[in-house]
Amino acid sequence: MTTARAEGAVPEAGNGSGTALAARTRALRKVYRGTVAVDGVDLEVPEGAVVGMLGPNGSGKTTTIRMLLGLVQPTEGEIELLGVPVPEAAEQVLPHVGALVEGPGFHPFLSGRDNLLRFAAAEPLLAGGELDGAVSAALERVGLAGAARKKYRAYSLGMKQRLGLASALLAPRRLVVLDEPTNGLDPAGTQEVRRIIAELHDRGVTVLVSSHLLAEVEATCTHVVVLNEGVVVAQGALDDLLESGSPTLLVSTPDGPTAVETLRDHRIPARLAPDGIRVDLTTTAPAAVIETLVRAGARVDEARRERTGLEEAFARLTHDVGDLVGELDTEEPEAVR
Amino acid sequence: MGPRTKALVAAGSGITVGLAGLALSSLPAGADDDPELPAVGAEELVASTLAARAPAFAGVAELQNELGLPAVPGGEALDFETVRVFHDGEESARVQVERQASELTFVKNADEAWAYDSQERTATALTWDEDDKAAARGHAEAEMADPSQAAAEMIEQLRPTSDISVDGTASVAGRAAYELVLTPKPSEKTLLREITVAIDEETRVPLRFDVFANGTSDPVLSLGFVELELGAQDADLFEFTPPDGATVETTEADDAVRALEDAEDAGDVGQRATTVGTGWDTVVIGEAPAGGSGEGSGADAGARGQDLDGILQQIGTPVTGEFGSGTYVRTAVGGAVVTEDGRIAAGAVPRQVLVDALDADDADRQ
Amino acid sequence: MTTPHPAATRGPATAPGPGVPAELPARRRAPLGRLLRAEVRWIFRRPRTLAVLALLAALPVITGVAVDLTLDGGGAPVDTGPPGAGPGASDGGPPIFVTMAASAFVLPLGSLMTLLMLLLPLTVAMASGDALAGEQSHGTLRGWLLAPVSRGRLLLVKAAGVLVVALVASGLVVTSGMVTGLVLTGTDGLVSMSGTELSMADVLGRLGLAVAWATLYLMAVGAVALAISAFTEHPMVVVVSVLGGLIVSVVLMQISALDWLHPFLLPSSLTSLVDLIRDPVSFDGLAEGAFRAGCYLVIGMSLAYARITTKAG
Repeated sequence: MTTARAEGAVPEAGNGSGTALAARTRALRKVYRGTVAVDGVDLEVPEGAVVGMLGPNGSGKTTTIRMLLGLVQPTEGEIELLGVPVPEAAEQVLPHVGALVEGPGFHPFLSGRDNLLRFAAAEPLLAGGELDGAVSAALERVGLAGAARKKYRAYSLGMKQRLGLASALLAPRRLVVLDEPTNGLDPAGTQEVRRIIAELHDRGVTVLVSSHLLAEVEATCTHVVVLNEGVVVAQGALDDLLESGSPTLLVSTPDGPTAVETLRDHRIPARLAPDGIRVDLTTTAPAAVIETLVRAGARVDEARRERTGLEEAFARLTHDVGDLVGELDTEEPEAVR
Repeated sequence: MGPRTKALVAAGSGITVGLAGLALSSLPAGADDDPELPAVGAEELVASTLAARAPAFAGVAELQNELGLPAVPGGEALDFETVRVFHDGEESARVQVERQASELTFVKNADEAWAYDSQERTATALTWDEDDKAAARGHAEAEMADPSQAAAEMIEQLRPTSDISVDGTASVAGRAAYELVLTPKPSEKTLLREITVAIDEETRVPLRFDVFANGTSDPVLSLGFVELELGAQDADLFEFTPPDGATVETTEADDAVRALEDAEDAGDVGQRATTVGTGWDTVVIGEAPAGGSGEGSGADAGARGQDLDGILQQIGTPVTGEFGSGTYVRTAVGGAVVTEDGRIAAGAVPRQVLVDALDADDADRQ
Repeated sequence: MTTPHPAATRGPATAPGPGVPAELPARRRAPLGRLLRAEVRWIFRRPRTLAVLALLAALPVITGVAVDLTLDGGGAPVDTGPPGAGPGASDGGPPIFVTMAASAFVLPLGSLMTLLMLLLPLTVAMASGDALAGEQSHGTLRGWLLAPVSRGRLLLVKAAGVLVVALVASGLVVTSGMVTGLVLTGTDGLVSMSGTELSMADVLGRLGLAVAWATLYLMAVGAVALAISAFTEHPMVVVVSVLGGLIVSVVLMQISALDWLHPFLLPSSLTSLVDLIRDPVSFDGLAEGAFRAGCYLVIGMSLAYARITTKAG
């Protein structure tokens, strides 16, 4: 990739600074004509993370992103992007932020390349002589180099989406915000987007990606924010979120009934499962469970923590379980699974 | 200051400034306070005005016409809004009567005078010998629609039949002026109440005149400078060369003087015109042109004449006298009678005075 | 790609307080010239713009040829629909616009006056409509806002783009008219309304002044159109509003009882372009028209600014 060097040169965007936040909001609230779109959102996007913003349509994802980028004035609350307040200092920070918001917007009578050149002209970080190169690199990165001279109106839905992605990647970024980036993409296109996100992540660029597709977020993100009806219902590292709820240890053992009895004697809740037993870890740790079983002479073939799928975690966190699952079933591209 | 407040301030101040500017440009110019000037006697003011020579100046005069004239002769002469006048302070002058899409240009210098009509593309030259210079110049000046000249002539004509007084001061085109008021003597049978003439204090050039009729507070006719700048003018302004493609007519001064004798003081009122009476109740009698605007010719004339009759019957009232019968039309400042035998009598006078004048005209002719 | 990045999994959800990210470099902005070039390139690659400009260039040619044929063929001046003849020129023979309509001096000015009544303002309204409302509806305005281009600068660039359209459109009309006139009648007919023959340099100067004045007039229309454009997402709304405003203004100008209102109406300046055919040129009307256009410009731009700085991107 030709842009690798450029992005590697972004100062101090290193991984694992751990405590630094690329984006943060405090008590963010937006009311549109009496309708509360976003209410009391405290968002934290760690630097270097890929944060998936998950929520059904109308849950306030896009509104939150638009406020983050200074496109919409919040009704209440504070926003910091890369350490500076937005929208007050938006002009200082936005050059380092790439974004694709609410679908791609381009002029149909210009070619893909000319559309990008027009946006590149407005990029403060690009010097005059770099415009052509930056546009070519961005086009190549999203796999549109071959269709660069085609008029935008002749593009397919997927090509349009990719051109939008290219415009977000015109200049070296420290934060890339993508609103539903895989909308309208075929399976191959979806994979391409995942690859681009992973690449950005490898280079230490923070990515905030919104989606209503659980599998999408599960596949690409390190962190998750779950929004429902304008309120953050959960946020944190993906692993933590998946392990939350009631932690369970799955133990494969031929001595199921004995094992259950032994554990119950030690006041550890457990029950029989098809090929072994399930142990509730609420009051104990996996090590203690295995030690107890081994001492009692039960054979342990394998022990592993049960991971709840994100789908289950999500359903647990939002009210409209039925709606959500319905939406997931109909909209998730099968090939993604 | 939040963006919303800033936006409101920007919109509010922008609209205020813009509207204030528009309002400012819609205000009539010269609304200054009346200047304080040393007192002057009416007679002295008139005498000095008639004696004054116009200095070199460039000015713009505007006409406000509330006469409400129907299509009668003379109406066309007032079909303009702006006159620009240039004067070199001596022999030469240039007057441009600006109409909306055409122009009448009069240029006069020591040796010749030109009139150019852009609508007809005709240039009329008047030349003269040394001998009849004086007469020729007089004629040339009469043709010029210079407002100050017109006002001075009016004062001269009305002086014997008027009570003259000075009524305060005024500021006209940014210059300090005396207001001279001419009121008809009680013996005058006129519909006019008074005529005021603003006379420049420094140069004694008339700057504006307003004609007031009985029963109205606003002038029915007002012609005055809105801009006046004293100073030498470019000599090129007073030269005229007819452009290629224009129809050029040349008139010798003595021919012109002869023509003038036939149509003295008649202006546009046709070839044969006479006046009855003097001063305020002067009645001008002429031949009614068939077209009403002085241009009817050939086959249309009959048709247009019938049109005119039709119009007259609608807006006028029948009148009879020793002269025969005709139609009387009233305007804001006076009236006119169009007789059946094709004469027209007009003046700033009541109807009976017009009838009497026509009777007198008949008597003269017999 | 399902493996979470090891470094990033150390969650900040439990972090006691957010750290401060590496400091940002000082604010930088894309150079204004580059934005202007990009805007102008965009405007003149739009097929619609090119079509209207072609029409504007063709109209003076058509008028000139038609008048020339009529005058030559019939021998008598035409007496219908003189271009640019205002009310009041209806009787008493054709005005100069007809008798000399094919000349290299009167044809460009007459064409400019005629087209300034409707077609040129509509061209500018169309450009203004595309500049904000059109970009908004395509979602392309967001691209520049995110770059970022500050909203004030965005408006400045958009207004400059409209200015270029106004200048090019009126320049094109005058140039096309002049070239047509020169081809048809040569340098004959460079005559002022006051009967003076004018030098070519003088004529060029006057035509240049006409273009400058027309540009300012059109910019006043453009500023109001930009304000409307900032309030809507439909470029058509802008064009229709401007068209409606012009028609209402012209109707109000015919009502003499509303004399007091006339100085507030933008089109009442238009007749003063005739003064450029007089000699010497009388600048009062033109100056008044320019001042009036300036007032409209201030009102339009401040409204557009107020709207664009508060609207959602």
